[in-house]
Amino acid sequence: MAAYKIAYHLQSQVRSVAASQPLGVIVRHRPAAFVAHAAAATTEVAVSHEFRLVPATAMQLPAAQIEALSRDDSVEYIWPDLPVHTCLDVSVPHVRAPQVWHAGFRGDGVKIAILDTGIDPHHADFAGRIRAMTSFVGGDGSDDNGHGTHVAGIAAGSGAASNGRYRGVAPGADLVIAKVLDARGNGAMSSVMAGIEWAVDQGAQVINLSLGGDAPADGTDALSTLCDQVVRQLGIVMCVAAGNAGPGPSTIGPPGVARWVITVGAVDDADALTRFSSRGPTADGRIKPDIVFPGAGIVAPQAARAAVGRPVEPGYAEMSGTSMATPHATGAAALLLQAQPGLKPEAVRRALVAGAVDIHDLPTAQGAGRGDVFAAYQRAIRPVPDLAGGGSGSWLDRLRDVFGGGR
Amino acid sequence: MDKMDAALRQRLSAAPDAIVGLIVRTDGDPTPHLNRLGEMGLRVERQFRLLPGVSVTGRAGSALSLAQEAWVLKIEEDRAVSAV
Repeated sequence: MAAYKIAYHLQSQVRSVAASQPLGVIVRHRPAAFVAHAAAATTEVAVSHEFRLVPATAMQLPAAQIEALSRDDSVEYIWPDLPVHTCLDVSVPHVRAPQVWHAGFRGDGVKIAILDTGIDPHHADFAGRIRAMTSFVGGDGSDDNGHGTHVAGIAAGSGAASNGRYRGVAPGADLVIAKVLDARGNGAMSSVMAGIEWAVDQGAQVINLSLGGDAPADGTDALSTLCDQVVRQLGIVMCVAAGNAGPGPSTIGPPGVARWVITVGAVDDADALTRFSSRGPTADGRIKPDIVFPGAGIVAPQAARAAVGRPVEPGYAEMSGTSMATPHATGAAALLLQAQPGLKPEAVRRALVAGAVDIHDLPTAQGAGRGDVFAAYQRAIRPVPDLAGGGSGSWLDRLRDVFGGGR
Repeated sequence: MDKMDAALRQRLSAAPDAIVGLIVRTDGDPTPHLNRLGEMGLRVERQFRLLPGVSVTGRAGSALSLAQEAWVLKIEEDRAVSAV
């Protein structure tokens, strides 16, 4: 065995799994016919990526064959293809929230409602900022699942338990918490509707819904209708997850299909749309989502009684989903509302979509693109001029006009 | 306009004794109609004010009768949602 060619961690991994267990590896090799050689050696090698800038290939092969591969003269080194995650200390700077903090806005005084599986009220990242909590599915709002705590941390965690490393997008915002999903992360539309009414009564200015029902849907259901009313009549911003039913078309369910909410899909930290992120159009032909934010492998606060998420370090876990992308948008909205207290929900939406970075995917997959919080802030403090000379102001609205997908 | 979609009507008709959960939108405040809902064998689980209505549970057959009430605007299934 050419052990010097195999990374130490990979050697341990090979020894600890069955010989037939497929393992992901990255093989650095001399240029030329390496891949053909490997493929000729066994039909069990699955090449997943050939890199252009370095002579290396990512592949999967049975553990027992890694040793044989290391003896190949063309192979220089073999690493394990390790999973990666996007900590809040990566995703939050990536969407340029810290630039808004430096301008003096951290969400202080803005009330964010998280309607989810509850929250761990003892997590240090929320200390002194939970203004109210309740439950519509039994209990007191404490998180017995972990999803809600993670979501709340992305929107407004202070990072106190990590010496400030894992800060959410609006680390100064206040939180009101309604548990509307049970310990398994399931609930009913009526519980969510009750939670929304409660959040309105608590004075929430932004409501986060990292939840959804089955697609397709056209936004005429009771929950989506209520969301639209809350945005339009009460002036409360609502950020709603697109769902994780991608990559097929028309996979966004209620309430992500509601007309006036900000519907959020998910990208990875390289700004590539995730496969799971639900796509539009809605059943009645409207373009959704409105925008995308990071939602792959996000590391954020972990509830003490968490049943979901992969623990990464004490008090923090990794999770993926449009649920994780949505609170990035919610936190962004809180920053904009602190900077411009009179901002209407439609102005918040316009600022976010106008500031978004085009990631060159379909409008029904990326909406306006990946959110850029600082760009949105700049547009919020200097409203977007109406380039069309009347009517809709953002390019997304004009796109909606072209595609006939108006609200 | 139909107060419930055809698929829901079909499901309710197919199993009239099944217990179902529904969201009922009402023409204004539902409070005056809560007794009537009880008389029809439907239990009010929640009452909504921003979008006037109630969520109820009860026999599918009772839910079908509910569509005849003038103050009922729309009946739909209280659908499941989940964390995503």
